[in-house]
Amino acid sequence: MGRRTRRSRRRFGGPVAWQRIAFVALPVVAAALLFLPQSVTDSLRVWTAPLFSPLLAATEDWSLDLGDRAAPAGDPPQSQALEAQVRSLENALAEAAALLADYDRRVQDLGRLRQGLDGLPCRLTPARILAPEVMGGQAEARLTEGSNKGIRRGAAVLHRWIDRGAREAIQQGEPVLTAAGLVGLVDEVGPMASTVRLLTDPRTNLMVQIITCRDGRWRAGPEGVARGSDDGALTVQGISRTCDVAVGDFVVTSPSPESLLPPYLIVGRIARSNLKPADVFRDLVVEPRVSPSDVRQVYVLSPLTASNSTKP
Amino acid sequence: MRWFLVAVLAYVLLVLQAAVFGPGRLAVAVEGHWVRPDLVFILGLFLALYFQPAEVFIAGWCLGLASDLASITGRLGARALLFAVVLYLVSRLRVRFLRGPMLTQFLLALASVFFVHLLWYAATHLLEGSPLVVGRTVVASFLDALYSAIFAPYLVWLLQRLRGPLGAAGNPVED
Repeated sequence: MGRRTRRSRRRFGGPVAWQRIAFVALPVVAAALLFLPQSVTDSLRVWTAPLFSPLLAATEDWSLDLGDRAAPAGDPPQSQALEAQVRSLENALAEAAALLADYDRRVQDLGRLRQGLDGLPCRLTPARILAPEVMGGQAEARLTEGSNKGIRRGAAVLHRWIDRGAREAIQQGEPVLTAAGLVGLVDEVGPMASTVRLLTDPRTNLMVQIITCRDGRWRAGPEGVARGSDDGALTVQGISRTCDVAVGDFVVTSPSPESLLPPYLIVGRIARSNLKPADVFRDLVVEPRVSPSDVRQVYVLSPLTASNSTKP
Repeated sequence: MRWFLVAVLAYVLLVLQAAVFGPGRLAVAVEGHWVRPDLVFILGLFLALYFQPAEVFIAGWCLGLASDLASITGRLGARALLFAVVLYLVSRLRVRFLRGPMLTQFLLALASVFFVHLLWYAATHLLEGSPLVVGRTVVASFLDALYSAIFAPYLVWLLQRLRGPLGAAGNPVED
């Protein structure tokens, strides 16, 4: 039986033959496996991992780390450190979420502004209006202007500070606006902060145009000059009494080439019309679209030139 | 060779390696490298002492592939090739290692594991395109080899008790 078995093995390729075949084939297979994509290798390992780890749970507490063994029982320094780490991570996450929300808002604002500017080549620099109590706005207005210039006690704040200056290539006279409308013009430019002359400042003179809406149709109306006043009001002057204007009509910056500002930036809406029987022209009191006391995040609109075209 | 029993032994040793000598257990962390013994290769060394080179080559290839599948890094087939070639060479030269069993086994394990691990780390770095820090690789391979060599005499002693079931000769076959 043993001889028959040995003879039959030799006839059908016994152990020596298959070992020779394996001796040649296995290195080729190993070389082929070496060039398998890592993703396939990882998938195979993930698939086979449970086969090799049935005792992992049993040896979970085994450790050669002497630092763990040296810690006295009942003292959880690691858990306290972990809790502190978790708290700091949660705070960082909340801060990151707030920043992200702020950036999303900025992106939406910029999108609306760009749409409103209708392809005007320009640069929009995000800025933040600093609270007057931070910069001493009211006190400064009283101190710098003085009573001889007509600043009454408790007068309206006429300018604000923004946190952008010459470092961001901000220049005097550039409009400061939000997606809702014009806030003011850059007045004095410092290295890192600048003042914004609000629309209600008596020194403000803007060429504006009235936009009317009659029967659902928007039409360009007459042009005039918007001026601020000591009491914080904005008035459009030079509008003929015969022109078709009404309360609620929009006031925008003039598209006239003589205007120094980009056209059709929303200034405000007509709040009331002052007209005496003998007057030829009427004064239109405008409510600014953007209340400077409510706004914090603004944009400075700069013309796009070769020098600032690559700046953010 | 009783292939089924060899496969069972290899599986047991791989499970032990993962469960007992895994990271955070009895593996020793040295500068970011987890040092642990290569018990499967020790089994291969035992086979190399008692079986024919061709069988050892095939067994080494299979042990190396199993070791590749059980590990989490490196390419499949690298250990298979290295185990097969090194164990084959050891089986061809085994007559020189029969003196002083424990010391011989210790030194044999130290040298062969060092050689295999060094080549494996180098091949892994080269295939993945990552820079090879020679000093760190040599130190890591030596520590792996030392940890394996400490266990080698005990594991070989246990395996010698299974010579009969494994189909090995009474004494190591000499050329």
